[in-house]
Parts: sequence; C-alpha cells; structure tokens
Amino acid sequence: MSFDALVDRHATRLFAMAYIILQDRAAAEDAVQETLVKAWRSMTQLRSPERIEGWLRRVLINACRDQLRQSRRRQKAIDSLVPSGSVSSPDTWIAGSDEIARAMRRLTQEHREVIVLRYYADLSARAIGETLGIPEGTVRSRLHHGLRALRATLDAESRGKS
Amino acid sequence: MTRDDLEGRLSKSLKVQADRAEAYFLESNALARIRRPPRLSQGDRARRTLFLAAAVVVAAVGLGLWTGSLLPRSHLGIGPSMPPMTAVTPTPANERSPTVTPTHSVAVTRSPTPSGSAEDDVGPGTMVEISSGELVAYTDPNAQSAVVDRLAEGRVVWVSSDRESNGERWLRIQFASFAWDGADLFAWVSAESRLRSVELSCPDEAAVASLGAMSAQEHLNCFGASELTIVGYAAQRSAPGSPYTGTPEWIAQPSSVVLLGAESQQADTGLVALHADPATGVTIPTGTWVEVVGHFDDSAARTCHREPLGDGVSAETSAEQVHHCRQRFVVSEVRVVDAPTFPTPMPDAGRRIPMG
Repeated sequence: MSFDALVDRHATRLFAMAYIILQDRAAAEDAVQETLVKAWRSMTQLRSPERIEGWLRRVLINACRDQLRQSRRRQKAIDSLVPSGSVSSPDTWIAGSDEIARAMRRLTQEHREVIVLRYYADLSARAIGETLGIPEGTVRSRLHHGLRALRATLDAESRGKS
Repeated sequence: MTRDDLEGRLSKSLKVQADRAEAYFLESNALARIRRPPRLSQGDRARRTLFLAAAVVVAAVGLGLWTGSLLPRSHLGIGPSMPPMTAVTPTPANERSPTVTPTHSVAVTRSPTPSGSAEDDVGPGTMVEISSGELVAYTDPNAQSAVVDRLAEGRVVWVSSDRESNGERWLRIQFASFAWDGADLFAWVSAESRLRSVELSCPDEAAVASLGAMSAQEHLNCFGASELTIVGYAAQRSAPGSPYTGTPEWIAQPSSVVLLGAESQQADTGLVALHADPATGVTIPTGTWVEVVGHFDDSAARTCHREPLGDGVSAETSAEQVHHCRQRFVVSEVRVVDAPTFPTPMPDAGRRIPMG
C-alpha cells in the first residue's frame, strides 16, 4: 500500500480521534502524520493486516501523548501571546458549545483517552486495556473516575445556570 | 443525571465533535499537509545536517571496506530500506492508579441543611457542599501555599478541623481528588468560600454501587466497623501510585485490587478498593466474581504512618494518617462465587453503545 493510500484510508478517522483527545487541530494533525509515517514504514512487517485499525489506534495514542508533552513545554510561550478565549477559531467551531465537550476538556489525559476509546471508538474494557497496555481493572477504574469527574463538572455547570 | 443519560449524551457529543473534526479535516486541505514529510524545526534541521554528515562519513568508510572486500555485500543493506516494525507498548504518562472515593451518590442522598449562615453550619465533622464557584484547596492555611486541587461547584467534601490564620478562618477538608484518580487528600480551604453543610442519608445495605458512590468519610459515618458482605467482580489494576508513602504498606498504600459492581460489568457501577492484611493469610483472587466479608475502621489503622512524596500535597497530622487508614475496606474472608445473571448483555460480550 502506498503512503497516499494509507493516508486516504485512515487519516480522517484518526484525526477525529486525535482531535477529541488533544482538543487542538494542529497537534492532532501532527499526531496523525507521525502515526501514519510510522505505520507506513512498518507496513510490510505487519503480520495481520486485518488488525491494522487497532495497531494504528495504539500508535496514535502514543503520538497524542508526545504531542501533549510538547504542548506543555510550549504552553507558557503561547499563553503570553494569545488572549484566552477571545478568538473564534476552527477549534472552537469543532468543539462547539456543547457542555459535554467543555467538560471533557477538564479531564486528565488518562481519563480522556479511555472515555474516547469507550464511547467514540466503541471498544470494550478489555480492548481498551490492550490498546493502552494496562490491565482491564485499571481501564474500568479510569472510566469510573473519568465519568464521575465529568458528571461533577456538568452538575456544577447546571447549578451555575439555575 | 443517570449513568445511562450521561453515557448517551457523551456518545452523542463525541460523535458531533468527530463529525465536525472530519469535516474540518477534509475541507482544510489537511490531507495534503499530512502527505508531506514531517515539518522540521531549526533544531531538527541542524540535527539532520549533522546526521547526514555522519552518514556520509560512515558510508565512505563502509565503501572503502567493501572495495577492500573486508565485508560481505549483505552487510551493506542493499535493497529497499525498511526499518523494522517496532513493538508499540504504550507507557502511560504519570501513571497514577486510583484510590477509590467518588463523591456523588446514586444510592446515598444528601440534602442541604436548612438553617442559618454557612459558617454556622460548616465546621469540623460536617459534610459540606461547594455551593458556588470553584474552590481552591491549598497545602497550608494560606493562599500563598501550593495549590493541591481546584474543586468544582457541587463537590461534597468532609471538614476535619478548622483554624484561624492571618485573621481568616480556614477549614481542613478531605476530598476525592479527580486529578489523582479519586485519591482522598487533605487540604486547606478558606472558610470565606461559599460552602453549605449537607445532611447524609445512608443506604439500606452495602453494595459496590452504593459504596462506590459514597465518600471515604461517609463509609465510616454510615458503617463504622460493622462487618459487611459484598459481591462483585475482583479485578487487578496497574501498580497503584500515590502522592504518599506509608506503613503498614498493605493498608497505608492504595490497593491494586478493586471490586467492581455486581449489577453489571459496566464501568460506572462503582468500585471499592480491597485491602487484606498479609498476616491473616487472606488473598483475593482476581478476574473472578467473589463474595467478600470485610469492614472499615480496622484496628491496624492505629499504627498507620503516611508521608507525602512531594511538595504538591499537604502533610497529614498523625491523627489524619490514622483516620485515612480507618477509611480502608479490609477483607477478612473471601470466596469465589458464580457470575450473576445480567439483564442486558455485558460490554465484553459485544454490547454496542448507540452513537446517535
């Protein structure tokens, strides 16, 4: 498979997942590119081509973590240049004004990862554990606390409105 | 909001975000950008130049060796260059496994205490709710100390003591820190913040769902040291991290074994961390359904000692260290039981979450 074919087939869906995890389109693009370049270089040695989706997800999650580490380093410089929340950008359009989307942004990276894999990628706890390389009990524990954190933020927002 | 409501809204919101992200991706020429080689920073370019220079030197030496027939041809890597597939094993950044204590209840009902001003009701020994705004929790009773966590409006916390500092009243609270995956932390908040006490109504019986929905202090308030029998699915989680180190390790440190809800194997039916004293010989099998008998307020808690590992959390007093361990659920008996019959298919059996 050529690199272009790989991009055409997988990039769009990978970008959506990376965007939901990172909430930053530039970082999401970089994560997708890194993922697809790695995948293409290793393609001939992938023994079970039918499992490429799961493998790409694993590589993507790692690429998202790399992006997050880099963005933390960049954040101070960006904060000093960009007035927060004052500019309408594609990011705000994609995320929309949905209160769930806003609450998702307040979750930790670990919580966001398991929630996206569960409720967007529709994976079982066992499959999420295989993707992230963690025990199934840890997946359930993170889902439990992630959902509670989400609910606490939503409750707080709804009280603020009433 | 029920779990089903939350899951439904979550699935729908993620689908909308994904649809918009895909639309943006397709319309913004991102495909073309991704097909290009990765962008290089100045530092990357400098490193690439050095790398290429080194490669030229190595190639020249290799060529010299080859022409001298010192190396067989196969060592030159002639043919398509394809790096080997690397095994990708995710290494979670800042792996911090939880101690368990959610704050919002499915089986426990709390209601505001209908009386007086906040400060009249809010004092040591009370459960309080953050009635408005975000509450900043500090390591010490002053706003110049390190921030432990920021607690959203609606969170319920336990007040353990209070103190006057620089003319202000400060409250020592214990709360489940979502930033630490539910670990129960002590910290200071200013009593000027908007707080109101809440009354507690304990569940009729102990089950994973109800225990998982209660705070650590509510476990003690409702059940004391009573023997409880709970059925659930025992699961192992990653080696737990903690902002504290402590002894005896089996009760002072977070447990790596949790009991998941017996109502179903879905994620949000609560979970309870299980502790077992190695001296009793009790071992908890994991990956199976079990019935456990155990209690809070174990006598071993009296010897508990905990110290923070870093500066980001508040040092606990001796009494708080003991109190923390009293909130652990200690298993005295365990037996394997048959899996319960579920009214709906389990997620691992192929349950699909509706996306629209």
